[in-house]
Amino acid sequence: MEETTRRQLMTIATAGVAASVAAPAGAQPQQQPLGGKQNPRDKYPKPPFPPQSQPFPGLAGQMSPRPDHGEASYVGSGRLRGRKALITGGDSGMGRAAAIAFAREGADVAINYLPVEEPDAREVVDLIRRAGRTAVPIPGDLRSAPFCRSLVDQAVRGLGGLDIVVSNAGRQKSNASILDISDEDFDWTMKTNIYAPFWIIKAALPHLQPGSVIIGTTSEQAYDPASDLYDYAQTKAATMNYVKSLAKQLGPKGIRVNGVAPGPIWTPLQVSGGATEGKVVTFGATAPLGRPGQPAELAGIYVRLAEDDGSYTTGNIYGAGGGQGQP
Amino acid sequence: MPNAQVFVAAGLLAVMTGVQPSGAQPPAPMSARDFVKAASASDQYEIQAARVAEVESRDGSVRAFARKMIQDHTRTRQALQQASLASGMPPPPDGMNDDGQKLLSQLQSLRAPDFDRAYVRQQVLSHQEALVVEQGYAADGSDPNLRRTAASAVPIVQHHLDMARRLQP
Repeated sequence: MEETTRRQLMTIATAGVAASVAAPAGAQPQQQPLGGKQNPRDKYPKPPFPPQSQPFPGLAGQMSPRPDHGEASYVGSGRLRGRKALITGGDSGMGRAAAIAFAREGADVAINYLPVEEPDAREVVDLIRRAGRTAVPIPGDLRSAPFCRSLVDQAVRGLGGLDIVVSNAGRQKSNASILDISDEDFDWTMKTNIYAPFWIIKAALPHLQPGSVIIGTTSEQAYDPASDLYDYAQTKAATMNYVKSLAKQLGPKGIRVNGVAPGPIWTPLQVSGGATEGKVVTFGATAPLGRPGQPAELAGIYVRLAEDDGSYTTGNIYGAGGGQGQP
Repeated sequence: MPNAQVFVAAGLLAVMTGVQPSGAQPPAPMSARDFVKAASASDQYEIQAARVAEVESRDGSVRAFARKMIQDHTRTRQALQQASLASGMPPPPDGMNDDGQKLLSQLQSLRAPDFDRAYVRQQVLSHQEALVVEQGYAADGSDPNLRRTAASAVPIVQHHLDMARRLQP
């Protein structure tokens, strides 16, 4: 097994926070992109996973195995030099992978997260700063319009501008029946997944110059929803849809809008109520690649959608589903 | 509704092997490669579905059944691997087939008591199907190693089918 693959697996397998958060050898990632190829089936952990559950929103640091967000592996090459990004849900999951990658590609990064996610967020802020970039942590609950406006304001001030908005934070709760979903539950999901992006994009727009990008995290659930994700899945369909209408609206302004649609990815959302315990234990077994994806495997998609080199892509959804689902 | 889902699943399983789950007709003889694919996909589905059941089922006898599925299908999977290698074939593929993926996906979205009903129904159907595959190859299969493996799997799968039927109300 190649050294880097083994190192990735050891990073994931290690339970200790310090050992896994910092890359081996003093938190310096390798200096050259890896290149080559590996069998994707063997790169990362396969099910079964230990039964586990955390209260929402959950911490990546408490998952077993720990997810890989690219801490030890992502190597940048200046693709986002001079850029300024705001990422919601930037403490863990795909948001974290994007934050690390953006910083290593030369961008300054503001991350939003819930206050209880501070332990994960601290690690991300640390990684951004070790990449030599400005990190702006802005904790707070996105379910409030005033907070979303304040979030953008703080990000613009902390970064000295803004040209990448990644609307990624999500609330996902599995319920076998629509009858089990309370008004509060439904509201929580809608506010987090649909209202917050609306408020944030509105607040950000006056600051976005031509060449700026907006990225929304949607999901394979937008195309083929699971029976136990009635509320969550429709918000992902809504996200996929707003990406396309907003792309049409903002094309004349030179602002690109795209989405990322993951399949099953190993993130705290899944172990904190987003999936049944049975699904957690067999997570990713339905995918032809035989395992769930890791956030690190999507970092490059966010970079691609943000970078200037991808200038004709707008109104599009890029997927990473391990062989299952759409797009 | 578990009913509709499992009915569709039965149809899918039938289409997959070209055989009705009731086992009324013998299947056309499978090639060695197709047998290995079908048997290994079945084993993998049984193991994954049982892992979900271990955690989701609130019924002690269903959980005990699930544990036995993991044990037994891990063994049949190993036996199949050994037999394929002994016959100079590549190792069996690692995953489930489309039907298994769909069935597992259904189970991953269910909670007790709907979970138990759906799981047990799936298990009756999947073992009926597996029995036909194993019996068919044991009788007509071209490769002697695989024929022997199929023959020893038959009583195991029959026993599972009997157990699954007893779990149904």
